[in-house]
Amino acid sequence: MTERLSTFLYPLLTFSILVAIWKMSIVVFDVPDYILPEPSRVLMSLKEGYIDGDFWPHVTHTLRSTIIGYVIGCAIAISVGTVLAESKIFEKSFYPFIVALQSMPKVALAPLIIVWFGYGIESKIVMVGLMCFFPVFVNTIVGIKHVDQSLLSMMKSFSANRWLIFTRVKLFSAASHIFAGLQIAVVLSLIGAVVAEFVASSRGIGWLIEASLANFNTAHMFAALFSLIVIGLVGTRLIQFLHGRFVFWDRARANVTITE
Amino acid sequence: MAERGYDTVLRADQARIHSDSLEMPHPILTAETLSVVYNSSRGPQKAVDNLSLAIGDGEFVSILGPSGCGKSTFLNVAAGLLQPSGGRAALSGQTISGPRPDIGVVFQRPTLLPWATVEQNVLIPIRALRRPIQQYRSRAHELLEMVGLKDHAGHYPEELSGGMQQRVGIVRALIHDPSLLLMDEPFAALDAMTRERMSLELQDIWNASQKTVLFITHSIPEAVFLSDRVLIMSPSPGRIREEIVIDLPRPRDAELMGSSKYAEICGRIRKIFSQFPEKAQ
Ligand SMILES: Nc1ncnc2c1ncn2[C@@H]1O[C@H](COP(=O)(O)OP(=O)(O)O)[C@@H](O)[C@H]1O
Ligand SMILES: [Mg+2]
Repeated sequence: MTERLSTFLYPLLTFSILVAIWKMSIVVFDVPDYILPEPSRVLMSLKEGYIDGDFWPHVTHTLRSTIIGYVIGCAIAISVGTVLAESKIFEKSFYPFIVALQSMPKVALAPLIIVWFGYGIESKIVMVGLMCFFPVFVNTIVGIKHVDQSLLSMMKSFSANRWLIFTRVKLFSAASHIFAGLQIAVVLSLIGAVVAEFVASSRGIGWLIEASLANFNTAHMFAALFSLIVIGLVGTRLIQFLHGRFVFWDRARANVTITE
Repeated sequence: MAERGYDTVLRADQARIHSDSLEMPHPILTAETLSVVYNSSRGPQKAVDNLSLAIGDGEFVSILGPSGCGKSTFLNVAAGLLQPSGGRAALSGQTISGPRPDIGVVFQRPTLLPWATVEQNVLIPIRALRRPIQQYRSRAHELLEMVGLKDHAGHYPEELSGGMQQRVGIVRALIHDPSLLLMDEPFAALDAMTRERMSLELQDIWNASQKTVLFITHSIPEAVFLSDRVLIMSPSPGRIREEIVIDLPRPRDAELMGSSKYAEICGRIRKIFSQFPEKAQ
């Protein structure tokens, strides 16, 4: 009980202290509003945005492109990763190119993607999908290849064919790795969506941030940033929860926080 | 086919160092001048060299040897998981060139799928052989009951002790009713007490099922307790050095382990090992 309370209480305490320092430094150093807004002004912006409702169309727009792009990108990554891990020919033919593509910063592709897919939601979905692809793809391959060799020997000794080995052993043993990739992809997908909105959009949280720059409404910008933090946090937690649920035989691994 | 099989078995028999007076039952597993060479980082390494043996139908035979002498290598050849570099292994006269449905393997570690229940794990060979799962469910439960795991069919491996997991492994190797059971140090990872109990249980299983068992171990008392014959293997390169017939009466019980005859056989085997120390160690 006290354990639960403290995991809740301590971060809250830290947060309060940070807000206090924030507020104090504005007073002490006389920081102008357009550089660092008062906490209360950020709170006002959040209230205006969410309770009065200005933010909602933008948040749902970003959420929509992020979720659709995430699902498509991850699904493609898992499928392609599986095929490459299971087929020597495919791996030899495609892996070098995929690695080359991976070493390129994907955000640099944003303008090109706008040219190809237009100003609408399609280009945002593509951008998000591209961002999600690589961590999930690489983790799928690593997961499938790192299967316990003694389990493979066991399956082979009972005359199991490739399909059975794949569906009963490799997929499960790769699950933990794949979930680790899915978790990294949550944050990357948000980056993709925001960058695409920066480049060309009249909607979304990325656009909100850009629009607040035009009139130096820093409080507005902070409110938008907090929204991104919340979305990223909720998304990551959701994947963690699913990881623990799905990979029930490997719970210890599910609770490890993975960063790229 | 059978005639040819018997013929090769005779040759394999002649290759044996020590021939006993006991009548050999119809041989089922044979190895003739088998050799396995691994390509290791230090160049080619002979793990098994010129190994010949024959195991009769229904026999319980142990291969006894220090670790690294090539026991698992031979078992992998017999299981069809590894191709020999020379010679051949045959089951009822047919060369073993891949995994076969009439063989069941028990590994040193339980090697259970952690994401599958005990029952699902036990039924893996049935799925692999594309036999109807429903028809084998009751057999799975009977076998689990035999090893005292009746109430654990729905459990996951992590909820079971090491000994229980190894029992599941044994049931899995028996589920498709193979004629030959290959066991690679199945109790090596267990504590001494569990190990002794498992030996007794395995004897019961063998009694009830009348299967041929090739049992690999590095424990002298375990080999003597369980086997009809013990094949002593020496390392670098691995080959059968001696064969000991264990003529202790069956069924054997824990009391037997205290008898002088049992101690005498164990002592004799220990002495054999000490006679080739420069090779054995
Ligand atoms: N995959 C392998 N590659 C190279 N050498 C191996 C391999 N497996 C086993 N060996 C070597 O072959 C010898 C016999 O190994 P093994 O059959 O596992 O022995 P045992 O089961 O009797 O302990 C050892 O010296 C071991 O190092
Ligand atoms: Mg071994």
